[in-house]
Amino acid sequence: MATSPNIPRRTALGALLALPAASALSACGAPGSGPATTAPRPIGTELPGEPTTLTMRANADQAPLWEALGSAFEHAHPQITVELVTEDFAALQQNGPRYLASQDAPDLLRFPSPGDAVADGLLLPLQPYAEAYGWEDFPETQLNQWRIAADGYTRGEGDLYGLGIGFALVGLYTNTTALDELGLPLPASLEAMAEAMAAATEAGLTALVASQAGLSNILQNLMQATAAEQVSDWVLGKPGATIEGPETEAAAATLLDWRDRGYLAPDVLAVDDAAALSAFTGGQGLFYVQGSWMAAAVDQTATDIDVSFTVVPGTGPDSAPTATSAPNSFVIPANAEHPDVAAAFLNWASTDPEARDLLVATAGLLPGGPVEPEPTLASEGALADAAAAFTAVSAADRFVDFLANASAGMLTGTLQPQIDLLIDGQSDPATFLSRLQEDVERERA
Amino acid sequence: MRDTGRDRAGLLWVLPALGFYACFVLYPLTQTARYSLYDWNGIGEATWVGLRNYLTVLTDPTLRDSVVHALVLILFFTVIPVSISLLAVATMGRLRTGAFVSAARTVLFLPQIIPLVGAAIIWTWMYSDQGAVNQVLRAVGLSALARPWLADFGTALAAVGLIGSWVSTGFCFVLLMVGAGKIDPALYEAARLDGANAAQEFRHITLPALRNEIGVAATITTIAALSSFDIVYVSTGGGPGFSTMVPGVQIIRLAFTTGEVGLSSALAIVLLALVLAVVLPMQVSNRKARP
Repeated sequence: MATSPNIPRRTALGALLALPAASALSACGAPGSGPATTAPRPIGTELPGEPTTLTMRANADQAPLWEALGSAFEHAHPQITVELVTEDFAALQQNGPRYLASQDAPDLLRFPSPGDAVADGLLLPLQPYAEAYGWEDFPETQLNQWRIAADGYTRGEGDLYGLGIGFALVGLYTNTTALDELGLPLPASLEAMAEAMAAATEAGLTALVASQAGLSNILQNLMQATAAEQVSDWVLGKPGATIEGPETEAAAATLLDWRDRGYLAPDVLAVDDAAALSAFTGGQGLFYVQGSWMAAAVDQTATDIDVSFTVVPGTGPDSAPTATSAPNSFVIPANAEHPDVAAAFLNWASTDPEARDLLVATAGLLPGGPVEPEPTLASEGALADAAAAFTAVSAADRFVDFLANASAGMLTGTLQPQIDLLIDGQSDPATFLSRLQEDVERERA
Repeated sequence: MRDTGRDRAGLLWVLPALGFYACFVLYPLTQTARYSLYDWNGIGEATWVGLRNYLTVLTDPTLRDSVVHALVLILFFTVIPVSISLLAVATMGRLRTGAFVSAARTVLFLPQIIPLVGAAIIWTWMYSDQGAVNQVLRAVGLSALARPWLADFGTALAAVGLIGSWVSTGFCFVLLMVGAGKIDPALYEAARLDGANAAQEFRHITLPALRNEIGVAATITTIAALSSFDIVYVSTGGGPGFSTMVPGVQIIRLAFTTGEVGLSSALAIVLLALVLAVVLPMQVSNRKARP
């Protein structure tokens, strides 16, 4: 010891510093793990008789709806307690895969887009429940966003892995007071809409009110007029699908033409959703392309103008009604403790008359699933119009999922910045579309 | 033998800190380096890709531009605040302490105690179309200049950078103020007797005496510029387009939004290397210059 007094210190220090290095070495195999293989388990549609707690994790911005549904479900089934945890939507989206993979996963998770979750074996297949409860009879375009093929990625076909509670669709809000003053009818085609916008611009109105975030909805509707199947296939990731093509390029060019003609506010890239809403409901604009999730807010704040909500028109009056729409999707984690109760809740929320009314009354959302029973609605206003539009698109079975749902990073990483570049003139339609395509391919690779 | 005992006791004292350091800094660092060699979504199976993620970081124009933006931010986070603070210290050093000086000190330091997220939110309001910045411009007849600063491709990066200047000036100022307090007043007195003017005093006394403090302030604010996240994430999220995208925001996006943990880790390692490449020479030259 006397000869080398420093050895213990060096050894201890060395050991301490070696610890991370050693753990790194020992963990030098690939991180992560493949999907666990589990045998299919029998399902039940009967609720348990004994007290059971259903745990549910959802987005905080719709907390009143989840709370209302939770307590109505408890009321209908007194032995069930619904334990709700909410968090910010963006955080929920980011943490979703981690909740699914966790040992104490919730029974029901609000999960916007499948991503890799099916391939990673994190989701419980809902196909047996769909067959037992009759969800298979719902309009197919309400379900296809959560049908996933055996490869674990391709959406649109295969087994069902998620179900929506409440739908919203993007449509055209029209300031009918201004439209009447211009002496024009509601536009039945994109051409008629463009003519009305020209007249509105002449009259000093913002022809098409939009927020920066809302520009992608306008563009998507222009694309859907001529290429709805192409857009839908691309969002769902069908093999060989591409967003590039003459129709989509023409749609992007039309948006730029509208910009050049002054139909959009000159500072549209700086307009947020709240500013766009108040510009429209304040009567400064003629049209406003926005989701029906804003319908209740529009009805409340548009006191000086009359507003109607319709599906954005297609190329002609005979075009089948088509709308961008996505449900508030819920999934049941493969690790869920009470999957049967979770499935019973999903079924109840789609089919029970009280639940269907709550969706409309609490959140301005439209119940999916069967057309009957009709939810109770106010007789007029944007929300009532939206429900009628939703029913029409349901009947035609022509819902298209949002471009933003093509991949987890599409909205913030690609769509919004690329639309900025397109509108600012730093990009052109062909480049814009090829960036979307490249980014999706990279992310799915 | 007594030495050994003291060494052991010393080791015991640093052990907890060293343990935490190893656990929360060294270990994650090795893991980041490890992940950077895989194509991995954070949960499922990972595929070994060698250095491909690094190649992507260096060739993808968006990722490369984000590194360039971080370098531009050094101007706003470091150069501007250090210059303003030097000017303020030199000016106040010549004034008698009083209400004005302490008020000025407080005002300059105030931004430093506001959380970065709060600062970003405040400035987002001030930069907006109807915000304070444009109101002032319109009030003085410069309405042609008024614009949504954070949504304009030409001004967004500078506008974000100026939020950083506003925040770091307080820190630099306090650091330099403390340093200036240690300068022997006799030096100034002697210089004045020799007929030195304010500029000469600053050049020959204040500046050399503050060399160490300037080095520390420059190092810390440069690291803040290169690894900036909060201000950009809250005020612009990297937009409009990619005009304010920085590696800090990109790392989070890649890891948690698009599930590209490998690429995100590679970018983090590149950012680490960049910070070291910029900061180490500053440290070395600072040490060499020390009397």
